[in-house]
Amino acid sequence: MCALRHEGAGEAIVILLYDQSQNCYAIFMTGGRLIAEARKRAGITQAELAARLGTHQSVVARWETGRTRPDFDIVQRAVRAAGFDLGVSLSPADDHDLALIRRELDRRPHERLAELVDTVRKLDSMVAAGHG
Amino acid sequence: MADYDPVAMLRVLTQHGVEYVLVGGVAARMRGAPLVTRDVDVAPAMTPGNLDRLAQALEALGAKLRTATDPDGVDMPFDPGLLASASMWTLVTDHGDLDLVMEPAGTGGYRDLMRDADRLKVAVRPELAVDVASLADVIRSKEASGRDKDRATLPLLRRTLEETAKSRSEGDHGLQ
Repeated sequence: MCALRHEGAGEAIVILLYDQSQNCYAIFMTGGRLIAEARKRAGITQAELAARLGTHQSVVARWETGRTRPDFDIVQRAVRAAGFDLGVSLSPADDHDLALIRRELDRRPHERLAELVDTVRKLDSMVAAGHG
Repeated sequence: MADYDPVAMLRVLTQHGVEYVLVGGVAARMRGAPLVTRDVDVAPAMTPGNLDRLAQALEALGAKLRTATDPDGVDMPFDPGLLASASMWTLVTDHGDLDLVMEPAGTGGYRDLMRDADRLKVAVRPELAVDVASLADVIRSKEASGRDKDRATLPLLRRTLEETAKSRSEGDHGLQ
């Protein structure tokens, strides 16, 4: 069971995943990265994905590298063309926020900061790996 | 990208005798708001002596001016006069980004924020405690800033404030 929260972070969306133990896994995700992820999982090239979408490989390359930002409809179509469905749902944030707040309040301030540092470093590693 | 280490950053400020209060997102996290943020914002005391110590600390931190076009930073000769000349400095240091907010929006700056600040432990070994603005003051500042990024966090911060008040009424909680 996971909960998602989207937080604006410039061009990217930060998706925070929480597992049943309330461990937080966070990834910076853009529409382009989502398309790239779906394409790679499908094992197809940019040109093959472009052909399925009736567009040119260079267009897909621009999405994936972030030179142009595909809108939500395009991301959905591209992900579907790669053989996946983009599951998006709205869930009440309050209850989840409340659980997170209570978990934080059970910690000491330095423990809260230590977890924040750990999360940010994981994000940095993921971003670095994404650019690698 | 500099290794993100806010504790190391705060330790250098403290070792140089800088009087400051931690504000913004990291302060909110330390107060219990489950925010993920990398912004280390501090409001320094604006006395000439403190700005002199701050300038020395910035040198020790390898601080440079952070700009949109040059994220690695631009060298600046920080001195008390220069620091006092702007209301905010966005910096990159050896330990990550540091924002100096001379007078956070909606507040009267260091003296005002210190009235409700608490000295909280940010590290155990070696121990380090710093002054952290109250969550109510962080909210006040974010409400006044008018930035979308700040407004987006307000519901979570207000909820945290409510829960903090409830948990305090049930027994002292969250401060160390």
